[in-house]
Amino acid sequence: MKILGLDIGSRSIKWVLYETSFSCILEKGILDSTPHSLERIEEIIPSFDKIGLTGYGRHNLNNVLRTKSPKIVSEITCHAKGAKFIEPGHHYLLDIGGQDTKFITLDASGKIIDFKLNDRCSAGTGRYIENMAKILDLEIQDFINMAIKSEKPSNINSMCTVFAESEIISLIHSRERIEDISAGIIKSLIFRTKALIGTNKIDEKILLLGGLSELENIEILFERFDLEVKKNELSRYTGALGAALVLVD
Amino acid sequence: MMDNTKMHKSLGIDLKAHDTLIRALPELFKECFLNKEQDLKSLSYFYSVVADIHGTRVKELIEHKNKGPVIGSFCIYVPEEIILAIGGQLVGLCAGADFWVPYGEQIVPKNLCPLIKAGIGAKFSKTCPYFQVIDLLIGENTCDGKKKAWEILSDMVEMYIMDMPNKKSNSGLKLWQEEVKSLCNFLEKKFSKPISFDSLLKAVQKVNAKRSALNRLYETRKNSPTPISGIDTLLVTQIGFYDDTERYTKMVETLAKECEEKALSNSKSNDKKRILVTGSPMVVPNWKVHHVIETSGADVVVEENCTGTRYFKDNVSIENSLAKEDLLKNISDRYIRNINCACFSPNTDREEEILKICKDYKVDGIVYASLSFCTTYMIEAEKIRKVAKKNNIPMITVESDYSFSDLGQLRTRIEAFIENL
Ligand code: SF4
Ligand code: SF4
Repeated sequence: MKILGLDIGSRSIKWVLYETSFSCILEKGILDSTPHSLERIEEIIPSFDKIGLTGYGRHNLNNVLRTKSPKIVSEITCHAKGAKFIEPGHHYLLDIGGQDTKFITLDASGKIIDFKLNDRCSAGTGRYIENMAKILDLEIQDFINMAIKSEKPSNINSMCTVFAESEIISLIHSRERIEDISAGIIKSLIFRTKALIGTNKIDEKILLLGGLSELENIEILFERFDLEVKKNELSRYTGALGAALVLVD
Repeated sequence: MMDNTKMHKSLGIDLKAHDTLIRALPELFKECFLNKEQDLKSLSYFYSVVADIHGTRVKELIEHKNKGPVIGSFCIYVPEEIILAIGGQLVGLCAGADFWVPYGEQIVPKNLCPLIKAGIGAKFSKTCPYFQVIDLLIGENTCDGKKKAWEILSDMVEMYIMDMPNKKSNSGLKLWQEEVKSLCNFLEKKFSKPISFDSLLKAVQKVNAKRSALNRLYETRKNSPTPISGIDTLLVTQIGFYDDTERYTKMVETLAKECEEKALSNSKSNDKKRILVTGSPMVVPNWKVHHVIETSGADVVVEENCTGTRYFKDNVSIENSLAKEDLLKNISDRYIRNINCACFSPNTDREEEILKICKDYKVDGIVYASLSFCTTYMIEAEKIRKVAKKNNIPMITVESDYSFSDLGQLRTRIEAFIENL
């Protein structure tokens, strides 16, 4: 049986087609969450026998796909299921998404024992990095490459995305190096993440999920600021995969 | 018959702003109450009270002013018995709507709880007929926010303020006994009406009957499946804060009876998870957390907060009361000993209370819902979390105000919590 998992995020839509008889992924895909792609969603996704929805837009898309009787499950449960499939035995998951950051703790069997989400402010989410890169006039991957070169990351103190923007502009005006500002931005993101996690050090590597995990060398920056993360090539798809897996058995 | 517009005008209401406020309510009401299956007939009374929230009851209160005062309060420590005894009517001012928050923020800082901001905003914007109709507002020094807010509100409305102890020690009890006595003296003088032993006894019996009726209703929620949804019960409790005490008591009893019968005849079981909601009060029309929980497939079966069990769980004793003083003492005892507000330190009784409720109502998980910036409840969450963990009861803490901007995030958290129970 073919099960489609659909993760409707605030920035992008991910889908995974899962075949139960071989327990494997047949196809996967990603597209931007634009009104245009949302309208054509039924043409874009492959055909399936059953469908599961997750992500920020799960309830809204439910109205569109109602005739297909989708199952709706929260992102947190789906990430846990998907991550257990791609990297069994990982206990900590960090999903830095377009709008929110989630930290999930699993027990040995892959069951969720705790989860935390950022508050409604966008500082510390993927959106934060995106906006800041835009101010520096850099593509997001170039921004990461730049940050890696820095030896003296700038300090950015603002908790709020809007104020952080003005801080960065004044750093530019005072001629701080772009690589230092870039690294400073990443540093503030990682410090925020650590505050969310609630401990200074975690003795195991964290599995990084979400859009940020697609960036090359991002794990080097995490390590520099004392948070060890690991990526998997399917990191981006754990939500969609989990939405399919909840329908298995 | 006076039409509502005329009546509102006579109360000095800002009609234009009031229109906007009233227009927002039906949508919310529809979404939370009308768009779901309902088989309890006796609920229609409570629905109609909310549907006409600024109409009939306001009219009754205006008429009541010929006979006695209408008095407002913000907290369940203000003893209703004494107000009834001087022939008054007590209205709990709701301040649960986001509409009032921006008005409040014009006067008080943004980082205060929405209840205080909305309360001040409701008065300042002149859009709440209940605020307009009251002759007196009784404040209490519970949290810091309220304590300072009274200073500001007292420029807009006549206020009487009760002091509160921080500890339930002997001296704390004494302070409160004095405060209750002073309130009694103050009201007698202000409204030139002595309170007799008989009138006080009658009032105590009336309020006791109201609490017992609510107790009876909540008892039925111990059944599995529960005969009445959490959001409906929340609405019923909220209405208890401003409806006519005797009529309300009768209506709650009728509803409780219907729930008892429904529970008895209920043959189909359900496997819905049973949730305890605890934390800050949820006043009309703040139905947000209940709505999210119950549209995510779980049942709220009990609330340990001021719009839940704290409001009614214990009665004032009338045993061995021969004089007015005895009754006043019993009243103050009931309030101070049995309400486990987070303004007290320590507040260990609340921990035990929550565990007991979890057992009695066969609770699967706790949703600890605090209003944003409600410091006392937010901090106390950690203590409750520890106790819950030790007793293997899963708990999630959420912090939210009256706006709908965080509805998506709230839903994600709560759904995930329920899925993992
Ligand atoms: S939480 Fe405390 S201060 Fe607030 S209404 Fe309840 S008893 Fe009063
Ligand atoms: S106790 Fe909390 S909710 Fe009540 S007024 Fe104080 S801060 Fe607001």
